[in-house]
Amino acid sequence: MISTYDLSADLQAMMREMWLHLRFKICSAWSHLCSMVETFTPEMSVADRKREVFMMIMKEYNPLISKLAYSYSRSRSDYDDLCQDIQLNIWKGLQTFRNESEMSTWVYRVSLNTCVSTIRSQRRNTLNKGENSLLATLSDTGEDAENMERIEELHHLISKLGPEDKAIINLWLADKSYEEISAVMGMKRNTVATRLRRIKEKLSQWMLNDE
Amino acid sequence: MNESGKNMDTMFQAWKNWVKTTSDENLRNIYENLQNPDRRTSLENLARRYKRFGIVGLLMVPVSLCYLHTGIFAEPYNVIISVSLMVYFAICAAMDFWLFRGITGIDIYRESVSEVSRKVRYYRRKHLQFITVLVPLMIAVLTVMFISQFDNITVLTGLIAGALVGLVIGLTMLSKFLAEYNILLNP
Repeated sequence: MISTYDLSADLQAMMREMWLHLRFKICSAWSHLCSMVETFTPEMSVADRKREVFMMIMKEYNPLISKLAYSYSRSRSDYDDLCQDIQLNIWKGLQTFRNESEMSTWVYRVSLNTCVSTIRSQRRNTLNKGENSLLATLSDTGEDAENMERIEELHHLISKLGPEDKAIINLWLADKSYEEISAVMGMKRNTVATRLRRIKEKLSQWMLNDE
Repeated sequence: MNESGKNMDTMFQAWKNWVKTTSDENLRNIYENLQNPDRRTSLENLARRYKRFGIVGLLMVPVSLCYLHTGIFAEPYNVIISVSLMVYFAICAAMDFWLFRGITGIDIYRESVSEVSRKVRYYRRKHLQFITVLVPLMIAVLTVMFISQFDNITVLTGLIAGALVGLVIGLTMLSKFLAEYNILLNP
């Protein structure tokens, strides 16, 4: 076993700094999670706290998750499966969240990774006979007919894109900056900008062809 | 700005303005659904399927030795068929365990979307490539079986019937796989 006395002063200082950094990371991650729970009390069990944090995340991000799942689905069953998969992955991964990134970035990463790794068969990707449009089964907010039509049309165009392009356009539609998109996608900022431009061109072209 | 640009912008705006609300009751339902210990994600199910097939393949390796002593196949075909089947199932098991390891190695919490997407595409492509390796191997084994039973019409009929049923099931499965992977192979 190596004694700390044998180590040089520089090495000892470096180790001390690393230990402090690690402690800071753990404390900041924990306090971040705790701060999300307004009703947090020291008496709450770990399971209760996890539940509270999860509910807070769902309350804030479930509308975004729904939109993501919608853009990757063409049938109600696909949509429900995808939503449940995303929620389950967020629940399971909650303990792995460290304060290294924004909570929204982490939620987007987990959600989009679930979407791109869950590609169902083409047959299931079509609407069943007699089944209403997917949006009609989801919409509960009293959107006007014109807006519904626009959303459906855009959904139809987005469904033609590949999984990665879908992820980029979804992030852009969620008003994420190029920096945030590049962090979630793992791409350079310029690559994101170029791909986004191409995606928009593709969508415009497909829309013209559809007309 | 041209007409299509305007239309695209209105569609983008409509999408951005669309708010999908979640009621408190829905939130409670989401949480309660998650408490089912048997709930698994699609990726976990896929990994389990590879693991299951891998274990079955591994178990079939010693079972293949049975053909040495059943008396169905005369010498030297019994040795050739036994060894071929052992090799076939060993390859199946190795491929399935390799895919299992790869799929479970995907970390959706830390890896970027493009990285996960690349890995998923890679493993699904490999899955298809493995099928294209295994099918000719099986055809070779079946050919040896046919040759060994060329004068025994009863066994030959059974082999042909089995092969036809297997071919239909195999082609159905393959068409499903191809339909599923089409979107990933041509993104």
